[in-house]
Amino acid sequence: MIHVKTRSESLSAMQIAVLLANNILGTSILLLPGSLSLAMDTPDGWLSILIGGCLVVGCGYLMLWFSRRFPGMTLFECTELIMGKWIGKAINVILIIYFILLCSYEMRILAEVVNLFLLERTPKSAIIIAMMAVSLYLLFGGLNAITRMLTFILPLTLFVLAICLALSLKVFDINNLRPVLGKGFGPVLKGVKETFQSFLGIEALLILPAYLKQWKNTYHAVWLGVGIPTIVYLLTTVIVIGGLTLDGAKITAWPTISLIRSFEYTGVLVERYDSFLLTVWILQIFTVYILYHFYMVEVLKTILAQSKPTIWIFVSLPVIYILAMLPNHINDVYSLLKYLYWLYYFMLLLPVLLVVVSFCRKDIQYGRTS
Amino acid sequence: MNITRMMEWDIWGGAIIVFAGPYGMYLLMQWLKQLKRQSALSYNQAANLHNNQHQTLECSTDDTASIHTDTSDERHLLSISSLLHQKIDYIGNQLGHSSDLTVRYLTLSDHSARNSAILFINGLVDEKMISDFIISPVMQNRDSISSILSQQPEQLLSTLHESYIPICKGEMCPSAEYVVSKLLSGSVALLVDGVTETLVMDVKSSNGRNGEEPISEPLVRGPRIGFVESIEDNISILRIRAVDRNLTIQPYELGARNTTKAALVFIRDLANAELVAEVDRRIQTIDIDDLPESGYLEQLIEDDFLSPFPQMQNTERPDRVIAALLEGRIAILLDGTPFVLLAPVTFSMLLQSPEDYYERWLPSTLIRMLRYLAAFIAMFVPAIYISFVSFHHGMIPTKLAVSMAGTREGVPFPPIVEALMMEISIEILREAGLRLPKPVGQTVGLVGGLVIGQAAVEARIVSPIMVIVVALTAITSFAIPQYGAGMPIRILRFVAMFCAATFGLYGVLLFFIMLYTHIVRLHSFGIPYDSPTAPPQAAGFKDWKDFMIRVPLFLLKRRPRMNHPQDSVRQDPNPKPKG
Repeated sequence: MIHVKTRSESLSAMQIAVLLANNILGTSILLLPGSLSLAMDTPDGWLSILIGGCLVVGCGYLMLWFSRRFPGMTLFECTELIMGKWIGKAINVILIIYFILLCSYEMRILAEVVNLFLLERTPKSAIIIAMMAVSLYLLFGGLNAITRMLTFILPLTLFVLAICLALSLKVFDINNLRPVLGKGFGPVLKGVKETFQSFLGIEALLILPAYLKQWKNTYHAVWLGVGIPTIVYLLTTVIVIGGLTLDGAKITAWPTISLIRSFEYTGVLVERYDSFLLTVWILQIFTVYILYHFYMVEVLKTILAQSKPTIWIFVSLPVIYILAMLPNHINDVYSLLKYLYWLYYFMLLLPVLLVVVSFCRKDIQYGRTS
Repeated sequence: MNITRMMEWDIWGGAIIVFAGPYGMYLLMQWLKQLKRQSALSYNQAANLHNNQHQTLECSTDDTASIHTDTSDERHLLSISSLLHQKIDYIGNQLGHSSDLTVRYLTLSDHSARNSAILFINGLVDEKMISDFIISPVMQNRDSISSILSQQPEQLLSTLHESYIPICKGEMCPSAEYVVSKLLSGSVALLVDGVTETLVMDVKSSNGRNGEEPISEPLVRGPRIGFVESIEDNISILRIRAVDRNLTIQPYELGARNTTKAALVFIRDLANAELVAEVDRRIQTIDIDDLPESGYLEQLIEDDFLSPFPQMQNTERPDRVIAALLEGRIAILLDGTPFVLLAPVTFSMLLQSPEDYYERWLPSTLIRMLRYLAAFIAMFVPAIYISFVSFHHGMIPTKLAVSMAGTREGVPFPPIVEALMMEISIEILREAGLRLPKPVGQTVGLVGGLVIGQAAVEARIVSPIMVIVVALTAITSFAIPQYGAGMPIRILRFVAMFCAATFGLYGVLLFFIMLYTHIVRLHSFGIPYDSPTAPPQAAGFKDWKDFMIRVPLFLLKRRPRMNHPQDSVRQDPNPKPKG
């Protein structure tokens, strides 16, 4: 009944870990300390991140288990197989909308930050169009090219981020993180939700394992792929709250950049380091964008049953662009974000639905035919 | 809903641009690719047509000759006794049937044809000595030799050596294995049918050094020898240095009108068989009237003609070629040029120099890092300078910003124009310096640069810091060890400058993404151009031992994995203690 597609490109477990880490690390590097502090009102954000990280690893294991039940198939192919052609296509269209919204969100945030810190007078449209055109070039290179690029970007990001955070220890004060659990466990649990949303990107584990050649070490890949962002978020939050105080983190729009801007090392060639942070952050936004665009193309391929939906890729560009440009103000973006999170939860719960349905339907055979 | 913008015209304008721009670019690229495919096709067809005509014209003379040689070959093959044939075949197999192994048959007695053979490797031996002192005495005394052969064949070779052949060094070897290694060190082997032993005589050619030190790749430490224009000499240079019997030389005759000899050189049990087959396939498709230089060959078989990066490495240094062969790469030699092509190539290979391995590891590592830094400076520093001056004054230290603004006072042009003027004039000076006669060249270059720089600053056309930036990029671009490798950097520097002038640091970042995307998409004969940066398996990171750093030699136990060599071990990982 089903034919398992032979994919021309393949991934190793290590590459899955790299893609996963790149997919998760995104806007939250700059936003998480602030949003956590707002949501919790205690400096215990790091606890929430630890708990959230463990939770996400658990989720990742479940997703891998799901992928392993349907080896060699992406989530979208599973959907069409299990839910039937038309319901499956409808669900996949929702997923397309989700990915397009995510692309638009990343582009808009990118434009906001670049406009605020790098190019004050350049219009947002130019910033977005330039980035979209550049990433399209990579998208046409295929998954292997994307993976090679992201394998290069991730260590670079971590290295620069580590240096920036280490330098900001100059203004770090451990007393800003006290008292630990001053208001009990309540705020910590509230923060877990916030953290869980910042791990947006974990859904990569529903798509990428289809490209695996060997399942060896894939479960380690989850630890690595989730562990890297967890550590990054943890360190960022601790150092930002330690450096800016809880109230400082609450009131600034971009707390991490404000932290890096708050100190100077005179006598060195460069006195301020926010440009380095911005550089790697833009690279990370680029990686998230390219991955979501790639997923969108994957869904398109499944829906249209075409191997190269070239013209539809180009059609998706203006859609992403218009959606990115529509909100008036950055705060409107944030207020629209909750719909995006609904779709995020929908996508995370979709495998559960699929597994339940596949248990009920006995006529479905899955697995590699060979 | 007031949180979204009204439908404004700029949104729709942008939407049209974001669709039409990339789509137009895509169509252009498709068209260019198709152009190449079509041109290859039509040229082949045209050439075939031409060849057919050619053949019909020369049919009368050609055909008879070829038939003649074919039949004579067959007869000879049949008449060689199986034992002799076996031996020759064994030696040929051991040497991978390389084109430079020469077999010269001799007839010793009247009863059977071709019952003896002389084997040697071209270029390693003195052919005049062979014809004067081996072949001619044997031919002149054929009658007496023939009688010895019929009466006591076992004594024949020693008698020949003692009484007929006036060559001082000679020995009898029983094993064919040993014969092969002697052949590779410049000996000639005399095989006689019915005799198990082989007479091996030393006729090494005495021309020691024939190549000058290559001008394009000078080294402080390393052999002062370069390739020459003759392909035979080049192959013998390689043979002298690389006595590995697996070194295989696969001959080609390219060029429809001016037939030129070419050779594909690789180490048989090292180079990846797929790579060899792919290179062979691409060389076979070449159909051109003339190949004056290996650059032609390179352009005809490269992967991507739109890329600014070279997809094959060219070198004049035999040591570089041998090192590449030992890493599992292949070399292509062409007659008439000292430049040998190496494939596959990655960006990191272009920034390496043979000297990295001759010097101790610590200086080599530091110099390698310096080269990467130089490549970065040469490509990005003018762009970063432009973006700082035009967009991000706040990001540089205040004092520096003030002094930079001070020096720019009175300069009437925007930074990009200023930078373009200086960069273009320095590129012109560089190009002119190449053409000028050698003693004048440097002087004119330096003086021209100084005078133009000084005068331009004093006339307040450019700022002094701009002159510093331009001079820095010019000097760093000379730190790239190969001329061809510096080319993409020189070209792309201008692209980076334009990006910086449009989008500042963001533009530089976009340019970097674009550049790296291109490198990631580019393949050189199946090897990704960025390797070993992002290997698919974690084990691939072991290639980093010889990437930006060069670890001590005793740690480089294995060949680079990125070339997929058949035999990965370079040094025994678990050496046994000797003695």
